[in-house]
Amino acid sequence: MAEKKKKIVIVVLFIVAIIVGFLISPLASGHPDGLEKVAELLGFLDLGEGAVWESSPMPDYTIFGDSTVSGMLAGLVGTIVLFGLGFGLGALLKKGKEA
Amino acid sequence: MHIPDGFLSTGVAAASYGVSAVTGAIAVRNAKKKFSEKLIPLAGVTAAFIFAAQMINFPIGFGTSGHFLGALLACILLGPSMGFWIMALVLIVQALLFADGGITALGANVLNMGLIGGVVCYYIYTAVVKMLPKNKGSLFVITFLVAWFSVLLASAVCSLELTVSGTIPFKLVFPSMVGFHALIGAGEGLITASVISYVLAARPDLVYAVSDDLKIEDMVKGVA
Repeated sequence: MAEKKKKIVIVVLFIVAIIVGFLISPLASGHPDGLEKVAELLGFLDLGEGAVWESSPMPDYTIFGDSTVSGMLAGLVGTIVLFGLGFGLGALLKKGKEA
Repeated sequence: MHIPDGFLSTGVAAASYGVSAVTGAIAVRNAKKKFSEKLIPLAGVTAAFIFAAQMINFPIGFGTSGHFLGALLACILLGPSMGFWIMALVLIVQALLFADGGITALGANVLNMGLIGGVVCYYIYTAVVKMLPKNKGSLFVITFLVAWFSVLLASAVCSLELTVSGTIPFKLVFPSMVGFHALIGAGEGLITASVISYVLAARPDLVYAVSDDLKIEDMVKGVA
């Protein structure tokens, strides 16, 4: 029973993450975020120009060009990659068996 | 508030890499003492959830948007050590795969969001929880407020880094950064308090903070 309920919490959070990363991500606001806006208002945004690492595989959360589907897939890939990495790191850093 | 490459001086970028690296090493040591095996799947879904939720920029007016951070959420669910590392993991993947946040600024981004927004605010959270009345309503309010504050504090430290870098004077950058993030933080508060309330109601033993001598399980008793 407890084991089943534990799994439900994990599954619910995982499904929410997938829904948000894959289905809801196209609805995100395109406005600059807080720091970007401040940089724009105070005139230091251009310091970041040209400094961006262009060879990133999924720049600006797109997987192939600037389309909705491309963004959704990038969101899905990232969400799954982070599930795997988070799980792996947890397994790596867990404490030893209690005596 | 992912800092891109180009905003920070070499000194500030290097120093913040140093601070983040030392924090990371301490967190590894502590996690190996305290991180329970049963939280491993939760570490995976927390990382996935934070990444996904960070993609959703919500408008806050003034032609500006903000998004969830998740650092305090990760620390309450997984403990400050694993919470720090989950945040670092999200930021590393965002910088390397998605060009969100600079590579040279990664140390500063981990410092601001993982250490300040996460670890430091987790200790503020535990201190406040210990002082205030133990009931479900107050837990929601405390979680909301500290999560809101975590975004403010991270944006204040970010302002400081930009100032020390010689990018922009403090008296200009601080009020605008903190002003925008006071609005963005409301989203942080709402999401963090909602997720914590849900997990606490369903499985309090999955919440690291419950085991951290806070007696917050008493706060959710009688819910069912």
